[in-house]
Amino acid sequence: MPIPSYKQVHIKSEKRELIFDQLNFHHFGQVPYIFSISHLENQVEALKNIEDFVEENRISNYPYPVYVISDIQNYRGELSIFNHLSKCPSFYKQKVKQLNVKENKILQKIYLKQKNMQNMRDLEFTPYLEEYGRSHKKLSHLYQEELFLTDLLTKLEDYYDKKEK
Amino acid sequence: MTKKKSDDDLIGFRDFLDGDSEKTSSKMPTKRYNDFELMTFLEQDSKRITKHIETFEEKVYMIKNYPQDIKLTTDLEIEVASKKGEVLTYLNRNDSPLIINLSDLFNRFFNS
Repeated sequence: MPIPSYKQVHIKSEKRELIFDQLNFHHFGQVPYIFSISHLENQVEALKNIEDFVEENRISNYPYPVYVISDIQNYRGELSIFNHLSKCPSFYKQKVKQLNVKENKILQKIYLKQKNMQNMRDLEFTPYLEEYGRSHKKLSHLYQEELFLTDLLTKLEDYYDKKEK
Repeated sequence: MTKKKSDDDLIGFRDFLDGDSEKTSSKMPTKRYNDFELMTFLEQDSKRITKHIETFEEKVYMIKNYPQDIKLTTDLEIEVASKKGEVLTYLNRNDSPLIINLSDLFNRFFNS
């Protein structure tokens, strides 16, 4: 059981077959991953192939995220991109060392929870969560509109009250 | 007398004790800090995954089987529509601030 600290993978090539061969060896869901592609010439192609790999193998950001280090800017996709290792969230930057008994017990619990989460893949909760988020956004917009109208009504009522007096 | 006696007892050990205390003061805190750091990280990560599981198991089940968003949205839409109607009745009056300002604007523009 590894400590859930970043595991960095230097992608060797931007070609689809090579990326798939390289990433197939890794067990996702146990540690957060960082794919480094900033040294490659065609980073866009590499990123597209990584996206395909993530989609085909149903790799999600739960329980551990997958980050990409690249120079690509204004990326709008599923993956999280950083331009340098230091920009990645520091929570998972942990030194790997020999664990004591107490730490080992917690790590075993974490391992069980990871397995539990992996078994929950079939629940397909993502569309429900996305819909939940969308409905919350819609509710928020409607509530803002209602607040504006209430404010406007109060001002109009005050205006007519003053006029009548 | 007692002070002298205790001082005498420590002769020969003082350097050793001083050296030992220096060593412990410089090394122990960092070791303890590192242990604490990793332990805290693991505990936080464990709690984090537990919260994820709770969300995906219980909350998603509730969202899936007992969605509340449709009713809440409909209620709010009705409320907004009625308030829009109230605002419009106020603004449609001949002495409303909107009509006064608009008529003022048009009169200035076309009469000048």
